[in-house]
Amino acid sequence: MSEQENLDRDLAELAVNEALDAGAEYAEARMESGITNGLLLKNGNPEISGFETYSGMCVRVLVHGGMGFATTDRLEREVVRERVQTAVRMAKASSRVMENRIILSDEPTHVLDYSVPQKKRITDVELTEIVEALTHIDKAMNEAAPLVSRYIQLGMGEKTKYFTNSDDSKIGSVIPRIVLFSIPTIMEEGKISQAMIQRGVSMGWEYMDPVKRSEEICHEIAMTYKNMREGVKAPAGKIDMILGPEVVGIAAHESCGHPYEADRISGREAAQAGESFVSAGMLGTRIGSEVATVIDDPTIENSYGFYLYDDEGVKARPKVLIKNGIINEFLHNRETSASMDMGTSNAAARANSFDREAIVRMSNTFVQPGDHQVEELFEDVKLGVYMKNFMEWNIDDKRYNQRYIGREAYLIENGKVTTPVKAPILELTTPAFWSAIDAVAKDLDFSAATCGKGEPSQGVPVYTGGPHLRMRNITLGVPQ
Amino acid sequence: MTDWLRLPTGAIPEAVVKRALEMGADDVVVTLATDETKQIRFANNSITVSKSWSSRNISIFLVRDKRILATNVNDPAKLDRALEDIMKRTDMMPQNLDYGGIAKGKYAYRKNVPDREVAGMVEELYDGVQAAINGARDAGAARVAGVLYSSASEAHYASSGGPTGEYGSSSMEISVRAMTPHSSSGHMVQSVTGPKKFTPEKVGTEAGELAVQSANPQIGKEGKFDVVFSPMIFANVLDHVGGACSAGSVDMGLSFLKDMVGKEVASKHFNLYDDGSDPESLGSIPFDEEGVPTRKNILIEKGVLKGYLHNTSTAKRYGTETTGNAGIVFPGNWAVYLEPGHETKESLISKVDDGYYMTNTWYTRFQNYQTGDFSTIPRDAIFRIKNGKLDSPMKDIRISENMLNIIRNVKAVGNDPMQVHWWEVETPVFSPHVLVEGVNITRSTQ
Repeated sequence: MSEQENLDRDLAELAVNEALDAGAEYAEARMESGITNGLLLKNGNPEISGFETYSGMCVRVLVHGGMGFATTDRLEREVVRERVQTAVRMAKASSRVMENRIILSDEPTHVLDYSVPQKKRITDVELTEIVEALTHIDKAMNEAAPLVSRYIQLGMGEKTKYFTNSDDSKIGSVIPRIVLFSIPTIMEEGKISQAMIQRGVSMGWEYMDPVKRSEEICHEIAMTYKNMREGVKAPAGKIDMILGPEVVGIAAHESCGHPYEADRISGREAAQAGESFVSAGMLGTRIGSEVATVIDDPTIENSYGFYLYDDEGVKARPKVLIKNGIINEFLHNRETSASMDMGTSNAAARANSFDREAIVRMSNTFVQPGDHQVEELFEDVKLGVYMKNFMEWNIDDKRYNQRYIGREAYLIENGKVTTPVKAPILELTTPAFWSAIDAVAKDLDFSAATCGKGEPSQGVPVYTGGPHLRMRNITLGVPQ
Repeated sequence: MTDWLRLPTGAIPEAVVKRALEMGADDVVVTLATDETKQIRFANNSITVSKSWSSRNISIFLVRDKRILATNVNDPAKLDRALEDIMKRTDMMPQNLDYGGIAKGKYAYRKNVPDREVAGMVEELYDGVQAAINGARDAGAARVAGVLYSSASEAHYASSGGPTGEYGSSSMEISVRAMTPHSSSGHMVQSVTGPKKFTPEKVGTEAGELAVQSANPQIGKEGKFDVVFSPMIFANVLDHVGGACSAGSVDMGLSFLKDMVGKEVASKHFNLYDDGSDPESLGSIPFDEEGVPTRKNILIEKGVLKGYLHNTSTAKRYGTETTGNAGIVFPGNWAVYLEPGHETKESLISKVDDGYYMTNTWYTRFQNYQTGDFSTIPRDAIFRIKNGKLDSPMKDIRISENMLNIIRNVKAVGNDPMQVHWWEVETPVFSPHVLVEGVNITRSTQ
């Protein structure tokens, strides 16, 4: 495979200096080079392999309180100079239509480099190894259930970044990531079921143990098949629910992480990702039960949403979004932390590429584990549903009305998990969700996902996760 | 070795094809695309950021002995290394036995010329944002958010199958969401190919009017209702129906129209086609990724599925001809059109005794792509319809349905198509207002 390109950091410094000379009160440059590699198998057939070596840079400036952003994939001095001038010109023009000038929070300066260790660097992996691994998984998938169609794709890349700004921060990073995605379609006797399965990490090729990965994926397929064959109708009336980590994770992401993004709360995303039912004044108010605590932490090693410094050069830390049921903290970048008088940013600014603006994002969002053994949660449930994972989900653009439909789910009768339940519908408001939790288990598991936000849309890698938890007195939705 | 940097930009694709064939490739397709896009985002009546993208990309699709590789290069100086790399990888890639080759021959293409004014516009874009904000506020909105885009791009193309060509395109787009202090909002978009038909103030006014009309919404009622969909929301449905017509979607288990060619899949009022040759469309393109001229393809006629969208490979497997919709790997839509009917919006509303009028949606998610079970969340202005007239504003409801049910239950189609292309509609879609019977509405149980 090709050698990773070395970034010419002087070019980024040039951009910042040029911007300051042109009148910017703040300037930053973010350079990036990357190597990507991927393979798609469709119904077992090696459809295509794509790969790329790329590089590029963006510059972001503040002039008279207006923000300008310009990018290029040509790392040449004259091109960079022109891009800087364009960013400054557009920032000045922005200030024409502006009721409030943009300011950024003051942040400590950081000068360092960091990288994710890889036992086998993914840039050293040959295509033959990728083909072997994916073919192994694909064959195993096809034996796990009667599949009428399937596809599986692997994407991986190593991203080298250099960030510098007019506050003298200079931060380099190298982060590898691997993602697996598959949709197997199971069909038998006129019944059809699908699973959407994703795995992702920030680590080297050592993650791609084909035996382990195929065991995980095939287990999901087998359980989906079992549910399709044996699933009974979900019970009506008030019941208790046990949610598995995958469902807990999507809820933590959708109905806690997203509404706590300060750019939504301030209205900046109103025309795209939407706003939030949460207002700035709700900090410190109760949203859930005493046992509900939700954290967003980008520093978890090898997690899919891993970073140590965000794309504004701010040092990352865990953020406790809900603490024992109380709204505790929002996700901030430098702009929202300044406009909401929070002091400093909590490092939630991310961009998925050099040609995208860094905006407020989640990283690894999860419910904090509690004190119970998983088995204890089931013990005093007389009638309930255990929703282990989900298929369809969505939530409104204020993050108030959400819905998750179980893929692998079971009836709970007198404390015991009994028969599979077909497609139980959990459709309820966000306060109702977080208030219904009465017990949280000790376990913790994560799922990889790609979170979409921004315009143009930016998919960023995240973990969603949590332990098993129990909810009381839930009325399930009625299937059509 | 070729001195790539000395070549005129337009000559690079043919030279890359020639070099790759010399190196042993069987099929090669190369596109060099340049793009200049500006974006101005605004919220709370202020500009939040102005952006400018300048990009150049050379995409290479290469096949040797049915082993298929693809890569992108943004610096012509790196083409030799990229070609060596891609050829080396063909030794490591197994054969794709589904591969049926690419189109062969020479074709005549219609011109696709961009509006030359678009590339140079800067100050005019800020005037447009100001006009949109003013339009919405004058209509009664308190806060206005949105995005304005201008884009100009060019592409040079060469295929070892014979086709060569070039084209340009341009677009101007605006999306405006207006909000009131009374828990209501309205959203409107406009997508055109140049400044002459670009009317940001009108877009702002329409968004503002919807926001004001839908003030103080109440929680909606669940059940089965007749629904009049505006173009914004029905375009989201049609985006998914168009996507399900791709043979690629069918092969991958992502289509609810699998095995249904020749069958009645929709109501008799439902006539759907794909067209890459309409100069008014943002999806207008003279030829596909194999160099085959684009054309109008009927997908669903009077409710009957006429066929899928194909490239050369999928067409061979399905025993038909390419429809000019390559994607070499995955055939796709250029722009989706629902044939307009004869009814006005008011006429459609007048047919409903007890139902809803919906103007936007978001977050459409599938439970199962092959069955078409999905849900989506109507947002912005929603109204009950009672006795043929708009009634109270509503909120907090969800459409929990099946795509086939929706298109089978189309009762009447409006006469007012508009091009919709925004955050929730990725392919340009031309949709009028549409009346659908018996749509399943749910809401939070607690």
